Amino acid sequence: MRSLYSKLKIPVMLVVLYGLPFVTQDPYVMHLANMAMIYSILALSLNVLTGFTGQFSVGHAAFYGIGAYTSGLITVKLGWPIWAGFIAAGVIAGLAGLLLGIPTLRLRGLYLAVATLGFGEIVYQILVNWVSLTNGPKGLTGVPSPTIGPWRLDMYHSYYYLSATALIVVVFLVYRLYYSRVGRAMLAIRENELAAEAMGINSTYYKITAFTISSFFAGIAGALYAHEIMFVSPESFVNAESVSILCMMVVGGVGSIPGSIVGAIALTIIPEYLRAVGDWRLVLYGAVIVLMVTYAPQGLGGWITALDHWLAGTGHYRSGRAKKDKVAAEV
Amino acid sequence: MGTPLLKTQSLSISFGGVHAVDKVDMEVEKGQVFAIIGPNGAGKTTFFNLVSGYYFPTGGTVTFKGEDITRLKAYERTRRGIGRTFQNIMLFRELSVLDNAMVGLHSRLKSNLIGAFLRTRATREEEERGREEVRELLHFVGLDGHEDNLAKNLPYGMQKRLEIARALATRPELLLLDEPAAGLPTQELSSLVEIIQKIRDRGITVILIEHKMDVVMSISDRIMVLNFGEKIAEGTPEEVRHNQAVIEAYLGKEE
Ligand SMILES: Nc1ncnc2c1ncn2[C@@H]1O[C@H](COP(=O)(O)OP(=O)(O)O)[C@@H](O)[C@H]1O
Ligand SMILES: [Mg+2]
Repeated sequence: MRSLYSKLKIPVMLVVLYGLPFVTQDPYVMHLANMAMIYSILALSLNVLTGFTGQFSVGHAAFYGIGAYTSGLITVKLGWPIWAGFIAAGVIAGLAGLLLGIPTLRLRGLYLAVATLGFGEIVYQILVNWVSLTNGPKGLTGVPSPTIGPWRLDMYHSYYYLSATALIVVVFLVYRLYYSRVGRAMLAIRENELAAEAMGINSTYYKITAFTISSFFAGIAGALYAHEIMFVSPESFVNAESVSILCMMVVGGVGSIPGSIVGAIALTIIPEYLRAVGDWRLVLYGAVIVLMVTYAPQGLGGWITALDHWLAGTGHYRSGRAKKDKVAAEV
Repeated sequence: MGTPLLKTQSLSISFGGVHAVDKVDMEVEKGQVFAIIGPNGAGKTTFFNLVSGYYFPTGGTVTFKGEDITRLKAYERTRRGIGRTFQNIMLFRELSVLDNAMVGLHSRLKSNLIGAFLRTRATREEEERGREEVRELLHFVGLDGHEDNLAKNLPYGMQKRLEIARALATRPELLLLDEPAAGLPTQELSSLVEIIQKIRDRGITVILIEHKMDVVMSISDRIMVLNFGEKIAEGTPEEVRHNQAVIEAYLGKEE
């Protein structure tokens, strides 16, 4: 029974994930599903920065926006193929992360939060005001949808295969990073930077690396978004969006990979049900986050890991990393 | 004797007028257990911080294996062969015992981002070898069976030993131990002494800061005494024990 759980866990998740369009092709549901995939990638990307190395960012929507606009502009104005747009989105956002990572190296905690918030605002203002490049507040229309062989992914449910696959690839890469020498160095920096240096770790290098990887993935999420709704405008990348991404990661559990995904899915879907209560939604939203952070700082991820260990019969909950050998063998 | 492994010349640092370490000249020969003693606040930990690159001196130099390392950063010194533990335990608390020690391998493993993402054969083999090596070190300090525990859940004495294992994983030629016996119950002292002797037998030079005199006297080849940042004596345990300045500054008060 228990080994069965371990064997079936991943196949069942894949069936559920890819099976969704067979259950419904409702555009509203499938758009929401796409957004859940995109936000999962964003929360995961932020987790590489905050969960792995312990650096806070409240400006992640900037990289998301840079990715969306990069791919949008390259495909609309230059007519490049979409896959080139995706790669460019990751690379340009990654470079932006590198450029932000270097000057903010010395900053910690609140100061880093404020600096990244400022960066988010700067990028937003550029998107609004550099009209000749971005079309300003009117946004960029006619962003093409991708085709894969004979399939045009121009419906939300067909596009979903791309966004779900993108999430799987990102999850896979983030897991591999987590269980690698590089990931270990990042975690060590988060835990104790001075001790990490005593282990021969160049913390500067790894902090910048984390910034770059994190913004690379956020840029990919941006491209995924642009080609999904086929339109980009600055309003999608306001600072409130950065706060949402941060909340998804925190509710999911800082440092937890499954947590980020569950947090993102939950905070994508729940607000839809709260539309009825109007702006009270935001109050509820805030209250849930305060309660989570206060009473369950491990986030949803802590419960997921505990449940997973219980089902797998690997004894009481210790840590996701403690069972390293096992997971590493699976990945 | 050739060049000493570690040499400091007129090494000094002051914090707002306090001369925490004041013109200290010393040499440590390869293969020794070298102890630093002195009253609280004498500058012992600060001296370690200067040698391991956590502080940069306001004067003087640090030479390791003939190379001037005074301006090198901490991680660069680790890579050159200087390992250390911390007086106030500084483990990676939320990581497992095995991972704590694996982090110590950092500068000796090569796998980079590409290796991580592609999980190449070379990466896998390197990790496998690393785990073997680390298991051996955990066994060496008596932590077998605890690999999967989180570091923060270990009892105090084991945390201290994990710090030693983690520092050994960096394959140091010089190991700086800052008060390894502090806070240990008496029955754990003899196994600590044994561990330090075995470390020396592996060819690793040890500099030890320690208050427990029986520990210091039983394993040290040489002892340096600091008081108010200054070196007031150095010699064999026998010489230091009978040194008048030391008795006045330190031993006299304690015994
Ligand atoms: N970063 C620092 N800033 C200011 N003063 C310091 C700093 N580090 C050490 N000191 C001072 O240096 C002196 C020596 O401290 P320390 O090296 O910790 O002593 P010991 O390890 O011998 O007990 C103390 O007076 C301490 O307050
Ligand atoms: Mg001290």
